[in-house]
Amino acid sequence: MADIEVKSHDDSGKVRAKKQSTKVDMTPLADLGFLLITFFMFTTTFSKPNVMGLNMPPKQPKNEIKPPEDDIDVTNSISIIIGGDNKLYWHQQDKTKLTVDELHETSYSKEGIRNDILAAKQRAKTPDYFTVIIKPTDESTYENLVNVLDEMEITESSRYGIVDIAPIEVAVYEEKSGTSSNN
Amino acid sequence: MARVKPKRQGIHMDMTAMSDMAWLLLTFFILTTQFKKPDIVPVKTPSSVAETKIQDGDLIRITINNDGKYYFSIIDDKNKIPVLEKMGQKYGLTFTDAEKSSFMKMSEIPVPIRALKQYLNLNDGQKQTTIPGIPMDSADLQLIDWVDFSFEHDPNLKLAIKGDVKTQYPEFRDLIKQLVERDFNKFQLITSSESKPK
Repeated sequence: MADIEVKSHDDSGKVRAKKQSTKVDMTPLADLGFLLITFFMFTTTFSKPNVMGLNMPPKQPKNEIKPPEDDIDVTNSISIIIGGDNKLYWHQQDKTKLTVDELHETSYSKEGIRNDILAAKQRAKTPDYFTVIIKPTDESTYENLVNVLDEMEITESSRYGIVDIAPIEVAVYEEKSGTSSNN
Repeated sequence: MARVKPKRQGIHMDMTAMSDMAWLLLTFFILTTQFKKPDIVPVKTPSSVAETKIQDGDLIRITINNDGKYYFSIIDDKNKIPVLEKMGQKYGLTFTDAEKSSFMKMSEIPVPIRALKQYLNLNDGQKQTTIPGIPMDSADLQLIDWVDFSFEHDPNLKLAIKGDVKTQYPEFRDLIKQLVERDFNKFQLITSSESKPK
């Protein structure tokens, strides 16, 4: 195919057996090789999933007295409540003083929680200690949690924790979302 | 006078070298590809912007499917048999060589330890349908035992958690709680990739 035979003129007049070229066209072979390489390259590198690190605080010894919780400056933190049905809420109140009006609904979209976190970070008195508290409710899914953890990565909030939701927050969340746990 | 025509030369490139190289690379990729053992439980992982790739060796994995059932996998082949033997010791079970080799082929342990012996003797078709999960509740912490013995055998292991998008949070919370109770505080959540927004 890629080989064009060039006739050589023989002047001697003798009839000779025509010399057949032994060259084999390697192009299809190379094509096939590269095709298979491409296949194997794609299958090897892209089959590996990504991992996201998650470190939990070590358990507290039972006899240790818990530090008082009320000395945390609430403006320096944001609590994110992950609800069911892909709903997301945030507040910046002490959990005992939380009311329905203070619990803001947001979304997983780009303009949603990401902006809320960044805005809260801007408002924080000491941004270096800005903390995100993630409180998933029982109705939330694993995907919701991973999405919120993802936002931590995107907004570069390195101080965050996953905490059990407090009963008072559950009550406010249920009032806000209109669901109740006894259905 | 006849013009001297330049002799027409056939354009010919020797493809042999190129082909050689292609096949050499191909051989390399074939040899390095590790074919995934078929997953027993289908799990759709959520996506994240995390860029760290998973490390294959020295890894154990807990899978939570959308029904909240737990499955356990030992990724590294060399750890499989010792951990199985330790589990057997605790629960008073011994495994034959045939059962051990059947165990090596499994990607996930889908049954409670007491049913494992029976499970290993099933044929492949039956194995597909028997996936009750490993118990993990206050009465029976088998799953945590598997993790415990794996770490006892190889302290350098990393613990990965693979959850389905529809897994309910309480299932995940219970698992983390039990693991933290036994002082396992570092986890790797397996996710599929997603590009990082600007």
